[in-house]
This record gives sequence, C-alpha cells and structure tokens, in this order.
Amino acid sequence: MRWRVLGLLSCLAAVGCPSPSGSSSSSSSTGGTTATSAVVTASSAATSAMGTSSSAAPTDGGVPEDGGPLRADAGPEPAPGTRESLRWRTAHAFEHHLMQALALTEDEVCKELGLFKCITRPVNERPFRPSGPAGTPTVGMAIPHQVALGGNEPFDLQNYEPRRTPGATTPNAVDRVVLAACDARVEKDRTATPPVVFTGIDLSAGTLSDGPELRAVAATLFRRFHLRDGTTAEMDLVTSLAQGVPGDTPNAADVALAVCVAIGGMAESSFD
Amino acid sequence: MGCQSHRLRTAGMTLALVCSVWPAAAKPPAANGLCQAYPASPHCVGRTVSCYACHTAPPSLNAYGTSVSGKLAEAGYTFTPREEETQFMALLPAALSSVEAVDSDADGVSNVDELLRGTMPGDAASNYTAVAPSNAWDPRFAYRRASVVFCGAPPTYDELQAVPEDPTAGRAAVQTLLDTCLASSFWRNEQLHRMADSRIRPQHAVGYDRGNEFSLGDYRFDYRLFSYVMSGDRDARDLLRATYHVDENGFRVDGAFNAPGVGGNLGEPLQPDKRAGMITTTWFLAIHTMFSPLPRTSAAQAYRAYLGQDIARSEGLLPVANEPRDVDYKGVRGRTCNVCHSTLDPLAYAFAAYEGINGPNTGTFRASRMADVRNGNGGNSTASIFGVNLDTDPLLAPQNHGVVGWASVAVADEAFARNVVFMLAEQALGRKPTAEDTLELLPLVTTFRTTHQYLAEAAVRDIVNTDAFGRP
Repeated sequence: MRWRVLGLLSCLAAVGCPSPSGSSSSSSSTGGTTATSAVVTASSAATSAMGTSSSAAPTDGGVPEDGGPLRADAGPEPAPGTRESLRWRTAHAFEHHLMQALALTEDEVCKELGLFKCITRPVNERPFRPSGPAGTPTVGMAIPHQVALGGNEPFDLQNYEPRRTPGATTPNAVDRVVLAACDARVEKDRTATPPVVFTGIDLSAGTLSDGPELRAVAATLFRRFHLRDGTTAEMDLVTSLAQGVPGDTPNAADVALAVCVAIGGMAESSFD
Repeated sequence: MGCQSHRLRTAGMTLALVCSVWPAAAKPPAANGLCQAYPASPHCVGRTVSCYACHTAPPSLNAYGTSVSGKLAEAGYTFTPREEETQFMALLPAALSSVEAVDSDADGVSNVDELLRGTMPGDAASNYTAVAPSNAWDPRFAYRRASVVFCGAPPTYDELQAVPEDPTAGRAAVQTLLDTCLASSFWRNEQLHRMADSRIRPQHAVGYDRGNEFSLGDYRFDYRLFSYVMSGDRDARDLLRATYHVDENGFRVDGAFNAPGVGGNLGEPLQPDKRAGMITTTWFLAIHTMFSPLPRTSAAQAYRAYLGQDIARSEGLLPVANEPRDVDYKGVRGRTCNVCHSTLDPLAYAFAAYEGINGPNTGTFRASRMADVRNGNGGNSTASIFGVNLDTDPLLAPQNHGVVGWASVAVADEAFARNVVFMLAEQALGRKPTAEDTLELLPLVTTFRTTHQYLAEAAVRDIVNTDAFGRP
C-alpha cells in the first residue's frame, strides 16, 4: 500500500494532478511527501495556526485566492523577527503527537523492520535499561530516527545534546514515521470495528471518491493533527488525492492513507 | 618551561589544547575588568564575559578590542612587558568609557548599547533592533507549547478550544496545566534527564550494568538526584549541596554504601560530610577525575555544568594572584597556559582529595591525597572560587571539607541561579535564549533566588509567562 500512496502523493508534489478547479497544480520539485507537506502548508499555514498573520499573506494556507498555481513559498517574505517564535517538536513529543492524533500505542507508531522503535527508547529501557545478570551486559536497541527527529542518545552513543534545528535528513524521517503511523491506523481501522479515525468510509472498497465522507475524515484529521479546521483550499487539495493518477485508480485504503500522510506530514506537525 | 615540551611529557589532552591555543599577549583579568565597568550587562550578570568580547581568536583583536587597545595606547600603555597587568587594569576603565559612544563593529548600535543589550560590540553579526511586537502573549499558543514541553504531547483539539482567550484566565489555565505536567513521569524521568545528560555524561560501556566487566560507577544515582532536586518543592541548591542520594523508588538514601564493581564502585561510598551533590557522586569522580592527581577536568565540568562558565570557551576567567603554582609539574605557569590555569587550578584544588578510578575506593575522600598534590612544586597554592579564598576560612577549607566549601560559595553566587533558570529556559524554548530573550529572563533569576527560594518548578512557572515563551 505504501508504494502506491507515495505515487499518489508525488502527484500532488510534482506531477501536476488535476486541481479541484480543473487547472493543474504545481509545486517545488523536491518530490515525495515532504514536497507535499510543503505544498499544503507553506510556512504561512504553520504560523497562521499559531495566531500570527501577515497583512499581505494569503489567508488560505498559501493558496492564492484566484486559484492559481500553488507554491510552497507562496506569500511575501516574512519580516525579520527579533524573536524565534517556532519551537521544533522533537522526538518524544513528535512521537506522542502521532500517537494522540491517530490513537496508536507507542509501539504501533513506527517500527523499522518490524523490530526497532523509530524515535524513542522502548518503554522497558526507560528511564534506564534494566541491569542484566552477571556476565551478560545488556545491549540497547538501535533507534533509527531518534537523532534526525531532534532526540539524543546519551548512554550508548554519548550523544549528550540534541541538535537544535532540523537537519537534512529530518524531512525524510518525518515522512517515513508519519507514513508508518498512518499505515498502522488505516490497517487497524480497516480490520477493526468500529473504526476510530477513518469513520464513515469503507476502507475495503475498491475506490473512494471525493465526497462528504472523505471530507469528514480529512476534517477529523486536521483537528487531530493540527488542532484546527482545515481551510477550504487545504481540504480541496487533500481530497483531490481521491482522483489518483491517470491509469491508476486508488482503492479506499490508499486514498485514506494518502490523505492522512498529506495532513500529518505538514510542517505544522513539527513545530509549536 | 614551556607548555610545548611538557605536552610531550604528559597525556593530558585538555591541558595540551589549552596550552596550544592561548596567546602570549592575552589579558585574562580584562574580562572581569569589563564586568566591573558594566555590572548590569547581560554578559556580566551571574557570569564573567568571555574573551571574545575583545578578541576574535586571541591575541587577534576584534573591532571593539582594537578600539579599546587604541585608547590604551593613547593613554601611554605600551603592552610591554607582555605580562604587565597592573597598569593595564588601572587604565582599562577609562579606555572602555572613552569608546562607549563608538560603534566599533559598524552595526548601527553603539558599543555601550550593545553591552547593555547583551550583544557583542565587536561582532557586527551580534546585533538586533527591538521592534514593537505585533502579537501579545497568547494563551492558546502558550498552552499548546507548554503541553508539548512539559507534558510531552500537544493538547487535543477540544482541550485547546477550552483554553480561555482572555489573557488572565489563559495564564491561569497554563498554570493549571503545569500542575499536571510538572508531576508527570515525562517531565521528571525524561525531560529533566535530557537536561542532565550533558552534566552527567553517562557512558553505558563503563556504566552500571551488572554484566559489564568495566563498570566504574552507577550514573543512575546522578540522574535520580538531578530529577529529585529539580522537581517538587525542593531547593535546587541541593544540586551542589545534597548529602543524600535517591533510590530507584524515589526515596532518599542517607549514609554511605558500597556496591563493588570490577573497575570502580557501583555504590556511593563517600561519607555524607564530604558530599556536594552532583559533583561528588561516584560516577562524577570516576569519569572526570579518573587517575588525575589534580582533577582539573572535574573542576572545569562543575564550573561549566552548574555555574554556566566554560573555561574552554574562555568564560568565567577570574585569575588568582600567584597562580597557578603548577603543583603537579605540568608546565602550566607558562604565559600561554596560565591565562586559563590561573583560574582553573585554584578551582581544582578542592577536588584533589577525592579518589577517581581506584577500585572499591573510587569516589572516596582522602585528605592526604590533596596534601600530596598541593605540597608539590613549592606548595602555597590558593584554593579559590569567585574570588573567595577557601583556604582562609576553616568552614570552607578544602583540606577539611573537600568540595563542600567550594560548593557553598558556588550556590550563593548569582552564577548558579542564572545557570538553573537559563537551563530551564533553554529547554522550554528549544534553543538557547537570544539576547532579547535574555533581557526578559534575567529578572527571573533574581526572583528565583529571592521570592522562590531556589524552587526550580517556580522558575518554570515564571518562564511560561514570558513573551519569549508565549508570544507567537
């Protein structure tokens, strides 16, 4: 499912899907879900959610009122501030943000190779790894995305301070973890009764078109992830994922996953 | 004897680094001289300005240093002999005063304004112009941020909607949230631990693990003590004053106890009257003192971690007359070395009585160990911190009390309070406070010392009320 969804998201990011108004959208060419995130949010959306605004900035998530092309850098350059008002939501808080948004347990959010917790130490190693029996030193599990997401590993790696700003691999780690978390929620809701997040839609269906049910799910996801309602432009954009790409109509679970990743992977998920 | 030759004789990496970077023309008392002239500068409240106020990389002067040295030259100072500092310090105040109105780094702000704003007058990139804020402290912004920082997760949509938009009621809602967050396992066992990482510097490879044949000490005691002292209604000064430890259930442990490790001691064998909180735990002494007769690394780490002054970054230099005595024959009297060692060695004498790595004796106190060291190279060394001569006061004397007297002077200084408040602020903001943030945070240091009587949680409650934290 993940590969098909990545294709869907790249449609938003670079290929140029039909926009709700019939024109073609375009964006930066960084590809992947990060680009999607940038398209959907831009920095103006992140800041507007936190109560800041610029008089000249687009009011609708960086989407021009005339429905013209979407750009990640839509809007004027922000005036240089004397304060740094964004705080990076790192490691533990990012993991718990995903847990809360998608009603998952810590172990369900992300496990690389099905073995390694992605962001924080396993619960049984917190605050300290249990002592082993004499002659058998305990060995900590690798934590693949901990450092990229702003955590630090003091015990095994002597990494005593976290990085203070996102690095080059941070967007990749965000994408990967959000994709894993959304995938887990979609799978749970597809098989569980009743579903928790993706309510009102049949995740086993062969198709899922843009309609009130999908928009209700998207609205729920905006509130769960970003504690606000999605703007009209944002809702139009993410629900356009239901159209798929030419020659490949996504099934309902793929659309749900794509919508989840597009919303959950917004930059707004990573800053307070 | 020069540092270079001694570097070949010793394996002291830190010492070698210090020796290699300092110039012959540096004026270590100048930093304190500047702070005496501008005691209200954010560079000087609870700290001593670093050498980079005047230097790019010593002895190279930056624009401000060039301005000041020019005025010194006009006043007849010749900079020779290079060790001369008496006349230099006498002329320095007038030289500083005469360049106050000058904008040495041409960044649009005068030197004196930069010093009072907490930016560097010799660095054009260190500069800001305050503008009227377009936003006020925002209850929902602050609530969301406080939830993430102190509870470990953002609020839900419904929780956020329930936060009053009225500032007074909103501030109350954030404080109520903190009631829960500051008692949470996340704050006490995760967030406080991460603040402690760089102060404890654990290494699992030689840590507490029972199966580890190289175990030197059990740093879990360090983490537990740090969290215990920084939470609840406890006095943060116990970071450097605690005579107790904390067990895995969160209860105080008084008295000494042994837990033999193959390489060190996994217990805390030090007698309580020689304990000084975080800087006399078995782990601290094992990992910093190691085998060193004069534990400069231990003193430097204590100065850095709990007083916010990193000597390796030329911070907190307060030279002591006739120091260093070079009691361990490392060649630190050389001009290029004594720039730092005239401060560092007097800080380190108090630590010399504590055993580093020494099997079951790791972390114990032995007065003769200190005597052996301080009697070296002619003796007459001066144990000192923040200008207080510890040797002259029987209640502070290292030979009687080890680091306990050192710590009592340390916690009484504004440097300790500033370090605690700014450590918490850095965690809250997710970055080092800017110069503008610092101006807003400094009054909290005074409140922390007076009104709050060193309660860390009270400082947290002040920090969330600042614009630095709660203004979008």
